[in-house]
Amino acid sequence: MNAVLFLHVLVAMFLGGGLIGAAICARFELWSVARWSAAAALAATIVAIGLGEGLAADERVSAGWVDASRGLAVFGLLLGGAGLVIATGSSRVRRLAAPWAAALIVIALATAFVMAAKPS
Amino acid sequence: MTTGQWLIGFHVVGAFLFVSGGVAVGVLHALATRRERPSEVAFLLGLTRPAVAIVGAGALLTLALGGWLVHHERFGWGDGWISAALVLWLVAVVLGGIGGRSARHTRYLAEQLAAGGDHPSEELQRELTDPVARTMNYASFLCVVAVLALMVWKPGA
Repeated sequence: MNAVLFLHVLVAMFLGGGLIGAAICARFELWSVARWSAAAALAATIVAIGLGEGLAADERVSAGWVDASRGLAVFGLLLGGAGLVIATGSSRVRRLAAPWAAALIVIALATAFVMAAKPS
Repeated sequence: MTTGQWLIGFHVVGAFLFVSGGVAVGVLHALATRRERPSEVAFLLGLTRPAVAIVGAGALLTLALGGWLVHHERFGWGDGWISAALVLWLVAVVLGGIGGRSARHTRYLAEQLAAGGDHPSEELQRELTDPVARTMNYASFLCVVAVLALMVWKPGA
């Protein structure tokens, strides 16, 4: 189980790296790299959620902090990440891409905090 | 929430900033090595600066709250996994600092070349692909990954 946990955290950290890269590149209008970074972050989100669900199922964890982190990951990072990929590609909403990516970084950090602190 | 929960929560947030910032720096640096025009190289290396600041903030937060956690949870500084993590953290920061210094020097060179006609330069390409700096950066990242492994497995705890 430790190996899955290690991979889960490592992939989540790569997800954070993708979001930081997307935020910086969007801020400086380097759109191709911003979109590539956002897509990499979205792929990492899917892998991290899959590994996290595997961990929760194996350890049979059922607690408020799991539900909270699941909500943040699915409704924040997954849907928000898909939106960021679209935002970095469409010229009409590109101006929202940098603050959007910054908001996703905050959500990623909040998710990490909840999963580490296990408040409930 | 207990003090220990707050500490572990923000300790992990610091670790996320540390590693995620490092990933972003690595990606932007790798992109710079693929460009030939000095102005493009200088621009891309300049973009690493906010990510480097995130790495620094994360490294400090991780160390400070990790130390506090050791005290609060009554771990021993002499425990193998804790002392190994501290040494690896220090090695990662030193190697990353040396690699970062080389990247800063490369950026200055790219800015000078950009101001002087913006022609591709062999010297700039050599600096960008310097194997010593690259090795330092990869070794620094591997040390951080090793610290993460120690924190997950906690051997001997």
